[in-house]
Amino acid sequence: MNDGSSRAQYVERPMAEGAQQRQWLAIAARRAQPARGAWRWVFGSLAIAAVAILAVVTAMPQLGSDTGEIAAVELSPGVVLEAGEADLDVRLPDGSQVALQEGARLVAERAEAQEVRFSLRRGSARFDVARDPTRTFRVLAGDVDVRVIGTRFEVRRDASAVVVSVERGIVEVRRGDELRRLQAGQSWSLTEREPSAESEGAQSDALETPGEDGEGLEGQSVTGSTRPAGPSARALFEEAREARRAGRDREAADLYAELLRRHPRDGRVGIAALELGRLRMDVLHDPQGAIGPLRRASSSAPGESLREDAMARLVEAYDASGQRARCRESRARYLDRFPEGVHASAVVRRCLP
Amino acid sequence: MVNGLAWRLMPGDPDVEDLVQDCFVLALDSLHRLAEPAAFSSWLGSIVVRQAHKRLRRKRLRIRLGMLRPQPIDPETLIGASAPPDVAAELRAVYTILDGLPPEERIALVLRRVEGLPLAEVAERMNLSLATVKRRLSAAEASLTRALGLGSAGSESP
Repeated sequence: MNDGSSRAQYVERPMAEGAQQRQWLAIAARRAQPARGAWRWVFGSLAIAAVAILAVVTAMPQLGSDTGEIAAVELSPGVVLEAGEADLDVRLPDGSQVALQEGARLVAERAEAQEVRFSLRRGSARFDVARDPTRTFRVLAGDVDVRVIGTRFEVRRDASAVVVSVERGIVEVRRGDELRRLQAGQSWSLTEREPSAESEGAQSDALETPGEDGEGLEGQSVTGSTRPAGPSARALFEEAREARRAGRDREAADLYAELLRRHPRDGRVGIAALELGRLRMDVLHDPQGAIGPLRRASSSAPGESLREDAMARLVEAYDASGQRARCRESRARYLDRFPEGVHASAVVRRCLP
Repeated sequence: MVNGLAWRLMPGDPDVEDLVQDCFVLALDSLHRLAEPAAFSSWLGSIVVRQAHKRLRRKRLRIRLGMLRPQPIDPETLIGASAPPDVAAELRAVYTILDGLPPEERIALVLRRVEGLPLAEVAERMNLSLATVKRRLSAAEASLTRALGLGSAGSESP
């Protein structure tokens, strides 16, 4: 006869005095949170109020934020959207959304029924463009012209490169007489190279498509340019993992960051972003610095469980960095997607006033 | 009951507290769906098993991806001092091999060998067929037999 039940009595959980009472208080507090439907109503009301307020705000020549507040914008030529030390989300009248990463600067150049045109002066902005075949949506980044009809894509510009990545739909990228059409999953980059004796001021561009096995290309190009110098994504990833295992967390964080910077379309980016976010939160105590990688991991980490982890840590990062509106938004997003998620009990306690 | 079962499934894991709270919240929110009050204990046990399974799978994935350092279970810190020597030896063997088992084998082994549940109830708690539970247990028991240094697997009673 199996007398296992008596074995259970020999493996009991040690509970400190008062622990059970604290446990019940935590459970009661969690159950006392309003239902998710009510949260939607509250957010909806806030959005309506925000639009009313913005009718006044749009008179200002520049709209920026250091607090991560979400804004709806009436566009007019000359309006400047600038994310300070926090990301900025903007909703356009036609339902399109623009998400600027911290430090990005976007200027509206044209806002008419037939054409909306932005100029990305610096940084990274993701565009989720409402479909409208009668209207052209354009983003200029230097002499690169990105045109879309109903799609989601990202444009990143810094001193040395312009990168266009498409998540959904089709995007046309023009540069002078050159034209490329990018589909979902493809990216295009233009890098400025150091002047050389053979080709001073030479530039290269590369079209990347993730490989079928998800490995991701490493510098494969269409126009005959060479691979970018430096370690491969695989090498950086393995070094970072080794550093992590050895407890060299700061070094691991630097390696993951380098992977994300050098190989933004590699298949390992999702895991690297999640790990970098966790390291910045837990080891480097830099929740603000963790936000960007965790946002990336929320959409690109392999597997639903890792994306869930990323979304939960993102709520924590917003909470720790004092961005209440962003915190509440990301919390709602998590609870909506993972109502019985493993992190739900922790997430629901975040973003409290 | 919930605290104890969660602990025996995931001993020493920092997630146990969250797991316990999740289970109570889920149970309280869905109590109206419990048709037979007499089945409350089994129903609550199923919730604990299901939530623990999710967490164990996630943890295993993270360890395999190198995102989490494995922290081996120390059986000596788990087993009560009043356990008879033969019981302590078996529990020691169970908890030594537990982290190396896939989540379903791990849960099946704990429910059978530590909780002492009949096979049919193990199957019900895990929401698996009896045949599947037997397969999982068979694999887990083989590992346990090696850990105990026995020549043959222990007998099973329904």
